[in-house]
Amino acid sequence: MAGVKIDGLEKKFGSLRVLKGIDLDIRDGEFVSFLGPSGCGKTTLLRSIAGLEEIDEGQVVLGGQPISKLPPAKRDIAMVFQNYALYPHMNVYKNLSFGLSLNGVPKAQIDERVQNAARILQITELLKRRPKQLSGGQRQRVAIGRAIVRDPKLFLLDEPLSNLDAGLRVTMRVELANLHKRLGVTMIYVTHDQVEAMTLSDRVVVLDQGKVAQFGTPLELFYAPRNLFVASFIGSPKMNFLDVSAKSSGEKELTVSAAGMSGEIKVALEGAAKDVVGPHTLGIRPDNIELVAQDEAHMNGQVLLVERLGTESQVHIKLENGQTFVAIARGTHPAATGDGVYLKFPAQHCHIFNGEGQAYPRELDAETRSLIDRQKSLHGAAQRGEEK
Amino acid sequence: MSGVQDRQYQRQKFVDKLTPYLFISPWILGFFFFTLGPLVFSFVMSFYDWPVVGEREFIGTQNYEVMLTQDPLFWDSLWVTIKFGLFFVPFNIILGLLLAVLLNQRVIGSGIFRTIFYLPSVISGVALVTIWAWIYSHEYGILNFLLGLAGIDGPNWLGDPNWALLAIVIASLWGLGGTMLILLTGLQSIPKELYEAAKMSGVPAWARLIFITIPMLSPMILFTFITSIIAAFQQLTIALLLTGGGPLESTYFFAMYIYDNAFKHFEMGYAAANSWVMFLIILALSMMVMKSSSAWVYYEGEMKKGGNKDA
Repeated sequence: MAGVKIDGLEKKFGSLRVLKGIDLDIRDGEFVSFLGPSGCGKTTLLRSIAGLEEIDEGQVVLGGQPISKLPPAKRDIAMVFQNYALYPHMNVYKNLSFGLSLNGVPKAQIDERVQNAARILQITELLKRRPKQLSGGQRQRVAIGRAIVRDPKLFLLDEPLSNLDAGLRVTMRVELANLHKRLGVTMIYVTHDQVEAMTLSDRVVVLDQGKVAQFGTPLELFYAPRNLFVASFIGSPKMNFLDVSAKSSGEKELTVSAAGMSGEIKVALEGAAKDVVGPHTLGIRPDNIELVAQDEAHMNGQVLLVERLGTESQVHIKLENGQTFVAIARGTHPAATGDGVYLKFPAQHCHIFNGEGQAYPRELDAETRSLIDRQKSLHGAAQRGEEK
Repeated sequence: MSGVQDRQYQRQKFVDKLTPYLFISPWILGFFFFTLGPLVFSFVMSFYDWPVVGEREFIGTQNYEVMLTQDPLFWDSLWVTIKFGLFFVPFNIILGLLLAVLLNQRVIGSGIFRTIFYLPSVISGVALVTIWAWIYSHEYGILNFLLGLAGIDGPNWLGDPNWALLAIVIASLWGLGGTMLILLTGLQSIPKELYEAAKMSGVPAWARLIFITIPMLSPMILFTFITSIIAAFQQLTIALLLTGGGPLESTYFFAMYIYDNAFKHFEMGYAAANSWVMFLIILALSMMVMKSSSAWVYYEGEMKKGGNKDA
């Protein structure tokens, strides 16, 4: 088992720069997700670590050993592919043992490893079957089993759940989390599904156009997004954004105002912000917008559509400036299409981004802060300790 | 529903049922007149003494009896054909596979090579033979010239009974572009993740070829196996034009034997009987191959018994 250190990794396809200088430090035993929209380079990054893509610049170090120049087989890494990549003409046992038997592992040891992996994944009764005779979830398990039998330093998983139906995906998600705890091995997981990334990971790498947009714990990404990209990518429905002008009113405070906004919002920051002037962006999550009486409101608008989900109502609101905001109200909120509504943006939930889209770290309330700190301390090594 | 509507409905139903048959009728007619008809006709013919000119006479199974017991040429030509097949079939498949694997590498110019390798398959047989006659020529041939450069005194390829059959095998293999193309399409349909997964687990290249490529390609290999057997038995053009069956009948193929009986000796009934024997041999061989295939051919869509669908 080992941590992964990536330094200045660059990858081009022809003249297209797909990865633009990636630096990451993944700790031993950590579960890290690469999250991003399609085309952000997350799979390429994974394949570069695996050795299936040659990198143009930079360095990948696994457990203290540089591996960028090694062939895939010598890197001590196992990979689970999106479409399972099971050998269709071999039964499950052969699928698991194929690589081992060609690498001169003694027969008895192969059998032991296969039986052990099958036990962990509960596929012992399936060992004689061919992949065709397995369900999607079972195939996924075999694919993971093929990684387990190799007992690698690092697991790479490329969207392993994306071919499963919704229900099975949730089950397999839990199983993957348990598997990680049980094996304690470093895992890197590629996904475009933020729920998977948030629930499974110790830390998440959000990638945007070949660059790391943010590397942090799931709650950090949600409550303290470092830039507009992360803020809008994490969370569903998406964060609402409003063009505002901001100025520093105190050491650790920004005051924002906007056309059509009644009053000002004073947002408390973690650090000092000086000489702040000009156009900024205010971000607020749908569940933080409050629908209030006119005298408390910052803005008003007209209801376009109400989506009733039972526990909550997603209210789409057209603001006076023409923008559409989504607010989440209680399930039985009486808003109806055409109604005029009044919106309040509570200052403690507002995110402020500068002209380059970078966030001012805001002051978090004690509860959120302690949750984030707890997540940080819970990562890989500590989790493994608990289990043993 | 009123009577008129009901009749209209019935009529429409009839037309709907008829339409598909009308669509396939050109093929059906062609099949009856040009395939099944001649087939049945030749079968009937094989029980007659049927000269091209003159009275035909029903002689029962006499054609078959003569062929099997009194005609050494039948056995000789059959033996030549089998020897040819024993060389041609494996080489056709193995070389076709090797070429396909080479062309499947992602290298610059693979498209050009693909065209070059396939080119002989589109050239007419006669042109092909003309080229090979020149290559093989004892005194002026380029093959012996090149061998001479290497210090080897080349044989009289087409004039030496020991070499003539081999010369025809080599010339026939020139047309393996078709086999190559079939195997190449098969190669390209194998998911590349299988190879990547194998690479990650340290499976060496030779093992990827033997344990992944060949099993995944087995349906295509089966197909080319059977078509190669058929091609071997029907080999006529190259031998006929290159050697005319000689020297000393060392390249006197079974198809040439049938051809001679029909169009040289004008024994149509006898030639028909020959053809039926050839058909039965090909049928028997193909069935043997098919029968063996369950042991070595893997089909993607196949579901062996004992499968369960629950999660």
